[in-house]
Amino acid sequence: MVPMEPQNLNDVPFAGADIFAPLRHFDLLKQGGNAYPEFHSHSDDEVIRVGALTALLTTRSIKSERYEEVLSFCHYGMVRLQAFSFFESIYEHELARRAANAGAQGSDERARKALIAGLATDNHEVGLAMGREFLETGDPRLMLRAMEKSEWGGGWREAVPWGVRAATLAPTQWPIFVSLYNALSQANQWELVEELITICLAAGVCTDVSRVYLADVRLAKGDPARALEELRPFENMDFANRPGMKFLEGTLERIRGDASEKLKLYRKAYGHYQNMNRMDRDQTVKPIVAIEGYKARGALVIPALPPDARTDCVMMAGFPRSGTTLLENALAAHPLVETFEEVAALRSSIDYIERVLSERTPRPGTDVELYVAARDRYYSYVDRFSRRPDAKVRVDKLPLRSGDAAFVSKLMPDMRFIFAVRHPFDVVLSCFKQRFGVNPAMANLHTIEEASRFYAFVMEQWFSVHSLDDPRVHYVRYHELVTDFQNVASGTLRFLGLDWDDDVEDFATKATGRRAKTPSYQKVRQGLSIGVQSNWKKYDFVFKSPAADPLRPWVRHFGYEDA
Amino acid sequence: MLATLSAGALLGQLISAFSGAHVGWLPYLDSLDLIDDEIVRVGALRLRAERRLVRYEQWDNLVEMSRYGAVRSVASYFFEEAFEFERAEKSAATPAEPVDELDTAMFNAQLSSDLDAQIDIAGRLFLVTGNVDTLFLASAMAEVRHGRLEAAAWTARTLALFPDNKQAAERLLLLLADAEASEHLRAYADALTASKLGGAIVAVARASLALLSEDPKGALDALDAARPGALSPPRASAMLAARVMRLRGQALDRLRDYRAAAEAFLETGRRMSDRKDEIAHYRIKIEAAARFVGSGETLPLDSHAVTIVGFPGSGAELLGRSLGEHPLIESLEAVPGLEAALSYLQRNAEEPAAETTESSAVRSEAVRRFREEAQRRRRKASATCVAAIAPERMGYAQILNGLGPEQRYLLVVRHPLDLAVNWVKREAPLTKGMPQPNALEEFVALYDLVMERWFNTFKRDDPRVLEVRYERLLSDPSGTLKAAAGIFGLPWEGAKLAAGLLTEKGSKTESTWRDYLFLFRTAEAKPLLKWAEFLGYEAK
Repeated sequence: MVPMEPQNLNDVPFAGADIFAPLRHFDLLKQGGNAYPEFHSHSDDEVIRVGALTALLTTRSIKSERYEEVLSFCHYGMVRLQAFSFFESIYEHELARRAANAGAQGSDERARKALIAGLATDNHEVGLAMGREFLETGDPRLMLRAMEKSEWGGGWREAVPWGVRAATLAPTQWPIFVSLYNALSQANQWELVEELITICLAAGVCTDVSRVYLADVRLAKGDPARALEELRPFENMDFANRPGMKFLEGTLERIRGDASEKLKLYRKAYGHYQNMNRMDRDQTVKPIVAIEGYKARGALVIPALPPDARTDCVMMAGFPRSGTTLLENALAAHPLVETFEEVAALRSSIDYIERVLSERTPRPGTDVELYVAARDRYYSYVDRFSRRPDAKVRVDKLPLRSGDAAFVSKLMPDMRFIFAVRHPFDVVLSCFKQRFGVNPAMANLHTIEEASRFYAFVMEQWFSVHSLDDPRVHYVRYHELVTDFQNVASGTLRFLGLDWDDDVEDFATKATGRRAKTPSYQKVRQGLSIGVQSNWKKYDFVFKSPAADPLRPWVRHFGYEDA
Repeated sequence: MLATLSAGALLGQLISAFSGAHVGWLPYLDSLDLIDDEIVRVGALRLRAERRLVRYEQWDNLVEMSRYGAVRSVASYFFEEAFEFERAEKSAATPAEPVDELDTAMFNAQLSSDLDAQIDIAGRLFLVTGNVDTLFLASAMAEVRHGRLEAAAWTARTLALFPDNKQAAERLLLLLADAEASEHLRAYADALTASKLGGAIVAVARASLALLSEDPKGALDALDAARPGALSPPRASAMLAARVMRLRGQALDRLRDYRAAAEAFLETGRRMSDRKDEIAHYRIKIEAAARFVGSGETLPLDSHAVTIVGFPGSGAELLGRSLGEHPLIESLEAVPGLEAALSYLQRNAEEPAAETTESSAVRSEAVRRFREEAQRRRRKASATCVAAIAPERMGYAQILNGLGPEQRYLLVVRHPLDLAVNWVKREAPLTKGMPQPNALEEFVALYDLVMERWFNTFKRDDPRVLEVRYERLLSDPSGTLKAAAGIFGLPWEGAKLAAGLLTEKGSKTESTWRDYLFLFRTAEAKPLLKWAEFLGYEAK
């Protein structure tokens, strides 16, 4: 038998005119009792309907006239479990027997399909699988995972319906609202963010969290003073006892920092960013681990390897916040370019080498065989995750790949690079103001002093191997890319052996459909309209200080103005 | 199906392996691999993959073992993280037993009250999901079906595979202590000591061992040796803290320091969460149920069915199980016939079903459901008579009388002060379906309520009720059981078996109320003395 699937899991029934339609009934929560789940148990959306029916079963509030309807949904595990338990609790054994044998099936096939989709990074499919699994288990966290994976697969438009479903079924779960606000705000959908906030505040749902994001809306709409005003009530709040607020402490400081900067209160802004970084620092993540890793790999003795047969792959490096995301998105818009954003291709080679050297995997006969096998793994990875077989060039973008320059030059001596350059002060300032995912490399960016040292270290690794006139490297300066986009992008395409294509200019439209994998997306989605982003002079009190000393040689190296 | 070793042998091996859990994951997992048990083998491999400790030479086995869903879900990620995509895909594509089919099987096993099937399915669910809850479920059901040692073996599996699981560590301790499995308990305490884990559990284990070897002083010393605060919440769980107080009370009781013992026993209740007005709610629940029942169709006399009632702890189970030794009598425990009838009546009162609008039809259906619950549980083919052990129904005497005015009962009574002392000593929780008192005065109020409810409906000379004294059941098992079996019109033929059961029980339940008489010299305790006098027991 074919496993039964939800009627409209693939559709987004309320994604048309009113994406928040199911959330407009929060007022029923105030009526208490079962008014809220009772209403949603008649929803057109099967996920919401099934979730609400299950809620009625869990609270033993389902009316007898709906028993048959409940049984008709028992092919979903979450309904079946609660229906069985409910019918047994009222000693309706025949109904319990019918619920138990209601034909749930296909769980193993679904589990295998989800694992295989995960391996193929088919995020759309994994998102659906997570949503389907929610219908089996009733665990609302799975809807959040469905939302996350759907965002990876198809951007915010695919993700938000899952967030709306989750928020409808679990209106007290603030992490769901945070995910919704984040998905929408990173996609610059400020009108929708504001609409969601209005719904929540009117119904008294998730109010603290919503007020924080209201400040973000004010900021996005160019009213920094009002943004700070919205955050005033949080000034003396005991965050430990307010659900969700501890988690948002860093966000509050980020908004205060951004708003103060807009109001030209730069010292104040700097203080807020310092606070934000202090809150975001994870003591269990050691920054030195990243530096030691680069050094160890750079020191590997790799014999001369046979020529590299692959010429279609190019690495994009530089440093975070140097314009690599902008350039990568622009190149991805070209019909003959496939880009890979921060993937683990080189990591797969490194992992293999580490396993062999630590004797956890059998060693090939010779060192040459070992490193050729490691190099092959890089290309296998790229091929495995390639989705555009017609592409002539594959660009593997990872800004901090620069730190592995020595290692890569030995493993892949023929590799070509695009290297993004931006004023080191702007790079470090921008990194300091961002909230990156937690990992040892990014843990080096929590203060200007640390970030400057890390920047200098990474540049030393790069320029110990490459020069500014290395023919294998195409340098792209950020301010030139933004001010003279077509010329600079054409130059990059020529380096890749490709001609200009008009689609490249329209890269921002395509970026809207992609998941915000790095903090840069919010700006990339605005296209070239953002102009040159240079702020370091506003913070010259920082860049005149010794904290920025490690950057000065690199400012001179790239020919930029010093503080 | 899942186990090849006996519970005792498996326990021994698991506890021995557990003693090495602190040495390091790799040697620990290697030691688990030597245990011939499917659950342990699969669980250990899953742990290995989760902790990225699968050796290269074990990779093929990891792929092959992906036929177990619990392994597959982690094996696929393990290989993916090692960038071994072909193996990852092979693992991911390996069929495993479907969870939904097991769920269906579990539901059906529950419907047919097949505990052995439920235990087996819970184990298989672990093999598919790797979920620790399935092991706890198997342990709980094994305790009901096969006793504490089987349950301990399941819990030892849990602890072996989830060595940081405090709940498993405590449950294993309590099961071994209650099973009086001294040898395993000692090995477990030694394993915990070696691993420097669970100081509080070690103290309780050593105290339990001392009591088992009749060394109450040693038990107190073991408890006192624990670090200050280690045996009380929040550092110890409420369950462990309650056991500590009970052990302390038992030790003091054996040292004849009864006042200190009572203080320790009663401290347990004081530490429990503050559940208020449970007795009042129980009274309201009974009165509300009476309103739903009303009057109308009644159960016809079933001369082959008797309900055994008695205030919990009076020996209703003992009498019922003893009668169940008779080839023609089947004793049934926890039959929710009354609950099924009341649930149906209540639902129809609140939300009348279209097909049963006539009150007589509703009543008739409720009566049918009452009987059906017992019928569903019948397993003994040779039995013609049923003894339903239902001490909790005593408070519902008026309703029972309304639904089945001809029905007959075996009422087991016991000295109220002994019942109270046993409750103080926390020998066993009160029957499910009744409130659990926290303090002695609550116990007295509950006892008073239940006795009043019963004797307001059934007088002592009611011909439908045969009164059996617990004390007499122990002192003259044959005579008492012969009289009890007479209610079915059957001669007593199971005397030999039942007598053994009763002798064993009798040796452990001596009357001790005189030692604790000081507890009953309060105004709150007066109802107990009233009922003692009513039932003809000495209480001075």
